[in-house]
Amino acid sequence: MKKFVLITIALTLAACSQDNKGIEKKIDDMNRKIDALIAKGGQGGGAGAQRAAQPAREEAAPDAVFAVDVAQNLKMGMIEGPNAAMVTIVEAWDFA
Amino acid sequence: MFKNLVVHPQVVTRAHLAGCAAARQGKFAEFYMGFWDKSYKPYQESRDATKMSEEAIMSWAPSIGLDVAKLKADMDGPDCKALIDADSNELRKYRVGSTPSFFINGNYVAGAMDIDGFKRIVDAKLKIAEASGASAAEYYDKEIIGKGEKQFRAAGAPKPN
Repeated sequence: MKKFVLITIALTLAACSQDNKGIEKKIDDMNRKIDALIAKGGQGGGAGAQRAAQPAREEAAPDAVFAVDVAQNLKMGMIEGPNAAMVTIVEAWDFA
Repeated sequence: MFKNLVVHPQVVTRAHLAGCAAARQGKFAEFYMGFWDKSYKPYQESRDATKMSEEAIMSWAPSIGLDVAKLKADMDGPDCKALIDADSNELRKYRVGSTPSFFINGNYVAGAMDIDGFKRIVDAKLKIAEASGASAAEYYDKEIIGKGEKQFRAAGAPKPN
């Protein structure tokens, strides 16, 4: 009887060991997939999938006067107010 | 002045093209306000993105005096796409990645601000502009484009020579 119990325990442990190996393999596979996604820059398939990955924005120098080109916007009429002004506000905008 | 930065291209690219096409009919401001009122607001209330679709825009475009056939033709032509691409490139050069963002005579302002905040900056810029001796017609080209910085400079970075 004692021999039978020992054999049963040995067989159970062997089965557990096999199960653990299967789980470990699955975890390894998942880790590989996560690493591959990170390497691709986290491009998922959600609503923002087409949006370019945006790097964290550095704060602009508060004293900088940036020469933002508005000639084409003026020509195309993307403007509210007079064409010539002492102060020009450029708005970066989107519709959503 | 309005520069396109299409943050959600899968939803509003056609709306931005329509904005450009409306501008070609001298109706950008009307289109801009019309979109928020007649497309975006219904979308917000229903969460139905088709309210911002081309079909939805075309349904209210005549009410602000737009010629729908010309609007469609300009939306599909090369000029509006080129403008939107050029705007995005120009804004990215100065590392603008979100809306709304502003440049007031070249000074960057991140995000929305109350009217008093805008007024303070505009008043200060007006004083500088008036002291320059340049006319309104030449000021932006001469002082901002001519003397302004051609690439992004981060806070704390030295001024270019």
